[in-house]
Amino acid sequence: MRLADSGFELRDHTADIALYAWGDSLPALFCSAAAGLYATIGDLEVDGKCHAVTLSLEAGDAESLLHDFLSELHFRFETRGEVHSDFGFDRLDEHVLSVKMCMARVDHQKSVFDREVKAVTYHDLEITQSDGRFEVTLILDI
Amino acid sequence: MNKRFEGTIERIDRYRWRIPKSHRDTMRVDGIVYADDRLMQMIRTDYSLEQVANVATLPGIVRYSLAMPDIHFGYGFCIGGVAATDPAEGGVISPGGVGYDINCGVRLIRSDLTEKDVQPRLKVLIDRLFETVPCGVGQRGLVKFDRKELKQLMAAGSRYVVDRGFGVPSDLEVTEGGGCLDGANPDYVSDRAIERGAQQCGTLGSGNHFLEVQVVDEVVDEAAARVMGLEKGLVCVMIHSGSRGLGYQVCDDHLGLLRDVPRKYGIELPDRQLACAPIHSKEGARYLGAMRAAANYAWCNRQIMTHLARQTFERVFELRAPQLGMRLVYDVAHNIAKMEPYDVDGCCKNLCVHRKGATRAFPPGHTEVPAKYRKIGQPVLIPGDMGRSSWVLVGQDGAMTDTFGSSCHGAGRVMSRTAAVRSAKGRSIRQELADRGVIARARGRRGLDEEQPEAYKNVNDVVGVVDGAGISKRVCRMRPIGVIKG
Repeated sequence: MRLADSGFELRDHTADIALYAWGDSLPALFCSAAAGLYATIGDLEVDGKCHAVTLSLEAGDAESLLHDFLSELHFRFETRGEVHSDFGFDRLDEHVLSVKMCMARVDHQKSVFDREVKAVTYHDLEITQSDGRFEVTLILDI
Repeated sequence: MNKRFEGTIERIDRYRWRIPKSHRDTMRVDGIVYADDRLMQMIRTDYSLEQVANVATLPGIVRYSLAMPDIHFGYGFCIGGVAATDPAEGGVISPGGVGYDINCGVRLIRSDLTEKDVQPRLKVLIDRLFETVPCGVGQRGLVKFDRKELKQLMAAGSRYVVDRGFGVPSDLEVTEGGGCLDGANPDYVSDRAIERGAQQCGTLGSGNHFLEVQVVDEVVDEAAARVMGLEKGLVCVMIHSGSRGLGYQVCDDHLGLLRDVPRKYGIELPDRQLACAPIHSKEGARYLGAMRAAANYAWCNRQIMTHLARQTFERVFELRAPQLGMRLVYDVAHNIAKMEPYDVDGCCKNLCVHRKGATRAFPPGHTEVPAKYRKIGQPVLIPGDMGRSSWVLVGQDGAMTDTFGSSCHGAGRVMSRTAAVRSAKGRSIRQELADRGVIARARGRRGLDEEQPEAYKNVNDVVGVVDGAGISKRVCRMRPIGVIKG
């Protein structure tokens, strides 16, 4: 299964990677940013078998919630070798996120890796919204 | 972040520049930047000089906010940033002044082998090193530590892994601080950080981390080189890595934990990546305890890889490591915060020195310098890029008077990763390196493209500034002949 790679671009940044993501809603933006995080690591292929995980997060603002959501996905990739192959938000507003994810193991033989991500930074982290389009630029420390 | 600096910057002398306090109302001290004219032209093109000014606003900062000539954009502090804060004056500790990769650092292992000895078996050596030293995304260490062991390792530092057979006791004598920061508190390291670190101790990582086989190419200071066991033509191993996922997580955890702390203590910050807490606060103590634990993990990480490199040389050259003369020259931390005594206006003060992409550079005679190097000064290891050179320097008196015992840490990037990948289109960086006499192996698809030599400043220029400014002195230049990347 090939993971989706729409709704984001990797942009120039002196030392690291600037991930620009967009969507027509907050959930769409979060989906795009998650796909961008995985694409920064490489072309990740999964083995097809998946298990359901429910994740609930709370934060003071939407930016912190996005940071914490991506950090959670990154943590699961790094420690368990898992990425989500599908997910649906039960709730997502500026302070609360509840999501059901279908997590699958990354197939190391079929995947092509580009680089390790150290962390999702808070640098200039701001979600903007205009004409129904949500945008964010995240700096990933490499 | 790529905005050109339009503020005032005044030349002090050939190698130093000042951002005056008047640049911004909130600056408590001047910013001082080490650079020559050519480097300054490059430095002005990004946001890093504003970051020097941002750091100058931190409570308790002493004398000035410093930047070394390899300065470039970082998170909170610029890379190449040095700042000392005084706990007695409300001084703060900031994770942004240490960086995500706590105790990222460099070590150099010398050998009695000459380039002539190694060249016939170089390809086999590099292939074996590439198989033996885990590197790249998702690679796990050969030793898995359980939670209890990991906590002991974080409390004890390098000694813990040396006692388990990964190295020899003399390695500890030539590791900064003996490979252990006192005051580490593993109980302040989160479960999440421990889980990230459990399987990564003894792994290189990716990005700018590397293991290189190098040759001493030019000796500038024969006497100092001799003390370090270095002479022209000898083969060495340089390792650049840090605290892996454990350290990154400690930094991220504390940026979150400290998010609202500045407001609690009435501290106004120009950038939330500068989140900080007074050193004498429970939040500050918590970060310091966790940061020191992660620093100790990093020393263990480099120590295990040293052991793996020695084992590989033993197999390839069919001699034991001591017979090959594979002694550790030194190990330096270049992302760290340490309490160190300095003379400030005639008073001895214990200051918290943040070094973010800066290397400690204590001069001859300093009691913290290992006995064998006390006459020449502390070795300062400066990696360059994988096609040109790296340097060994020693600390000088100027570092104690001018830079809180600090020097530069590397070349500093000038090209973005995406631009480097674009510039590598249609080229084979691996072949270009081979044409320069460097055998390169990389795990990741983009590793060599993103880390190509042209993506970095010429380290010779950077080293020329710290030498000229009298904060460290050139001893010898190293040329890579083999490179392992993540």
